[in-house]
Amino acid sequence: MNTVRISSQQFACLLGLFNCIAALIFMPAVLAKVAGPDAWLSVPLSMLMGAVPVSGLLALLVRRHPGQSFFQVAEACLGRWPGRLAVLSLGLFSLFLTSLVIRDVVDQSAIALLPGTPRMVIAILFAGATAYAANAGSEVTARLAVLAFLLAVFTVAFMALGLQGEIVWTRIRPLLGEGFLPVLRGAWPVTGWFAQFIALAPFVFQISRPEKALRGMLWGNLFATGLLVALVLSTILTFSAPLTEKLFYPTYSLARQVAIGQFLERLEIGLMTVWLSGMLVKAAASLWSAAACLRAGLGLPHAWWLTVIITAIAVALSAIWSSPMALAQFSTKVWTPLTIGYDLGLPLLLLLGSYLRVRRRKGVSA
Amino acid sequence: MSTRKTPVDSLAAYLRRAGLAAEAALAAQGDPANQLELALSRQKAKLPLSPELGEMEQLFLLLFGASTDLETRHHRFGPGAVEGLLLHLKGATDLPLLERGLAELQSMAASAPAVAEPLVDWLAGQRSSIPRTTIETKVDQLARALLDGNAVLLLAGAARALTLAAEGWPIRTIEEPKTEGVIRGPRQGFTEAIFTNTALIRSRIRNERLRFETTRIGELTGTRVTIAYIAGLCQPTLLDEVRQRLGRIKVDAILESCNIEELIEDTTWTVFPLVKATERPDVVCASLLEGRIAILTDGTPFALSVPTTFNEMMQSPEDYFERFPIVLLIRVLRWLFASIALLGPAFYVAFTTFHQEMLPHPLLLSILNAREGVPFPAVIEALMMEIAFEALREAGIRMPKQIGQAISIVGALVIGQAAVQAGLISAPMVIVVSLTGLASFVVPKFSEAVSLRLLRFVMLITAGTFGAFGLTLAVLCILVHLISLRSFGAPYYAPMAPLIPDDLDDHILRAPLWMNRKRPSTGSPRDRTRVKKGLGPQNRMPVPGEEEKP
Repeated sequence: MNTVRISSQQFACLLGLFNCIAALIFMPAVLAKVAGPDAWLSVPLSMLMGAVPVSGLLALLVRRHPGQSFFQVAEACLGRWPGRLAVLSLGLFSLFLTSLVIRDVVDQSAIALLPGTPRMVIAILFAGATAYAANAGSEVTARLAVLAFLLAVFTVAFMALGLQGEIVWTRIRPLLGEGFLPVLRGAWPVTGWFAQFIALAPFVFQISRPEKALRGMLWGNLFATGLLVALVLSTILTFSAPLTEKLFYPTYSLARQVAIGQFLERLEIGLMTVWLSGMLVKAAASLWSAAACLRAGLGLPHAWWLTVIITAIAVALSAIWSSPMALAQFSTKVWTPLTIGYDLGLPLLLLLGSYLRVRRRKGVSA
Repeated sequence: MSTRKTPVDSLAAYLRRAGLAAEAALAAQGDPANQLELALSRQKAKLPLSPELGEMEQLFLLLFGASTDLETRHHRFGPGAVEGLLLHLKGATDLPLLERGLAELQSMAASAPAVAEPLVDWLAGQRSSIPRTTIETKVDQLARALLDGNAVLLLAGAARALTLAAEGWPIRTIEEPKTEGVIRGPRQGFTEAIFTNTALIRSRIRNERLRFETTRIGELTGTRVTIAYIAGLCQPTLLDEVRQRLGRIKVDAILESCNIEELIEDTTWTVFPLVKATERPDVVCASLLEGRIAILTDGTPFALSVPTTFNEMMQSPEDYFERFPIVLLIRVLRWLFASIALLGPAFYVAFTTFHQEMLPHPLLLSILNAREGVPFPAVIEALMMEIAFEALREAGIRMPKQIGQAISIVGALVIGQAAVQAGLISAPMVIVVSLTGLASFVVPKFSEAVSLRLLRFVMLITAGTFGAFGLTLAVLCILVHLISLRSFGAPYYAPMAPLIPDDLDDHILRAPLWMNRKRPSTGSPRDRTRVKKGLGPQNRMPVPGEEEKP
């Protein structure tokens, strides 16, 4: 039985942050390149294509196995060894995701906060803090997520308000001027970003009231969508779509435009610290998932050194990308086709196993 | 050859009768290795009372090692002139009260029985100035009564003895608390006497559901420790947990409530206090009324309250003695200054070293001008100033009050003005460090302020090395740590994490009393309602001259 419990509200905040925080910095450029001024419409579309199916499948699983942990469910649905393999695969997926988050932070921080500092030092510092948070457990990570999420919402709202003078509403007109196809093409690369929250499956099974799991997931995805729509809209309305697609970190440039009075200006450092907080929550959540899955899959003990080893592997993995451009290419071109099958396939497989087992049991008892 | 028993013989005979053969042999040999005292002290629970006064006198002299504060006196009582032995500790007993009580008993003794055993019952039944007289049958009970400041009366021929409640320990009068002063509110503070403290609580909560449970902790000190709670309000599971944690303490001495605090807190590996210490009875009462449990320790004016939260540490008793808008302002200031106490110098160092673009140009220019010629990097400059400030503060506390003022002069002139003039320190840094020092005194609880002061150094070094990046990570690590802490099962950082909307009415904002209807859930009270509905202002008074005409 699960002993650790998180509320559906905490999970919604964690998911909201998990799905939007990494994309916050460069999503406007990725979408503007494909969908132009209608880029903001691609966000809800990709959420519908990526996050909603995964949410639905996970919610069905939770309903069929209330009170059980993800690891117990995997073994119950697929049998002992296939179940362990499924859990291990999720551990590896989460580990890879952690390494991507670390790399994102390293690239961004090396440019915006610590130019000249060796990247490995930044990676080790961030990974150390991540390991500390992950080692504190899923409950702590979920509680921290609430604070970081509120901070992110406040920051985006503050930025949107601070940009009122720069916004030109005609920059998104005409609506769907190029038709719906660019919106769909823009939505596809980021669909995988929304679906990757399968890494949070172990958290979903810890929601204190299983019947509220679906609500928590949907609210979390809505939060993420709302934040991203606000940000993409603000960027396009401020810079226009052609300029947005040329900027590598458009949100960072957006923060530079905010000026309130003559005393509150150049808020990009503030934005970076908020982003860093969110990234730490995301990295801690995926690292916790990775550690928990690998521990359950390999039958290892619950020990802090395991978290340290997994963190070290994540840091090493984060160094495989030659440049930020290479990582950006991978994230936009390869990530969705590579992972969408897994994101949807794993819960589908478990659900199928669950149905078959129940049917077989019913058959035997009949 | 004399047939009279020597004291050594009588003690040996007594011990033999009590079944302690080894100790009896030691006593008969005159205790050459001084082992008997310790052995008897350990075995005293097994020792019965003897009707032989000489044996008892020897035993008590041996148990107390002929301590100079142990006074023994012989009396004769009743028409049978039964010999009695009175024992008490000088300074611990209220001697005038004892003398008066004994004189009263003597004056009534004409009608007393002439034999020892009935005389014990008779004496116990008489009313005198001594408020309480009890009959005991064991040596350890008598020893404990003596150590509590009572007098012990043994009668020859009786295997029972009387304890006369005449405690008279030197105690301090009730004064205003030194560490938790208020402008408006009660002035009484706890003292070192535990019964005075329980009375101070009882005087505020005059309800039979207020309960005190006393136990003794410390093998050598035998310190009285009292648990206070309100039955029906406090969770039984919490009460059991407190009893269990206190029960497992096995130490030689408890000299201050901090000794208990360190042994019962959920983890010691934190700088934050997980148990609230206070010397104010009104604060303890407020905690009890929220379903928490107080732990009072004899010999210290500081009571403990569990469970507690970080939020509680940021509250002052006065927050509840002022009207709520004023409290809102004060609390906002307090949280702001607590942040400055933690992050003030770190922000300054990060901005001036790594993120100068964040500062408006005129401000940046003036800082750079002031720093021109300073031979140290900002982080070293800040560390030097912070260490000097901490040293001054510590010296100010330890120094005799008469020369304490000299410390302020040294601080202001030497560290401040002279260092700036010598070009060792920049003037903005002096301002930042002074402001930070001031900020740490705005935090109401000393233990919390100390934690923030300690972490300030960590923040400073992190900011000086990795700028806003390091600072953000350090703050997040502190947050993770705070969120992971628990105080007797209650989440320490509640109501922020976990977010408990119901409890936010007494966080940075304190709602008016009539809106603050529920007790905080962190105290896990069994009944959460404390204010009835509909107590808000209801302006039903008619304006004079505009009364409704029939």
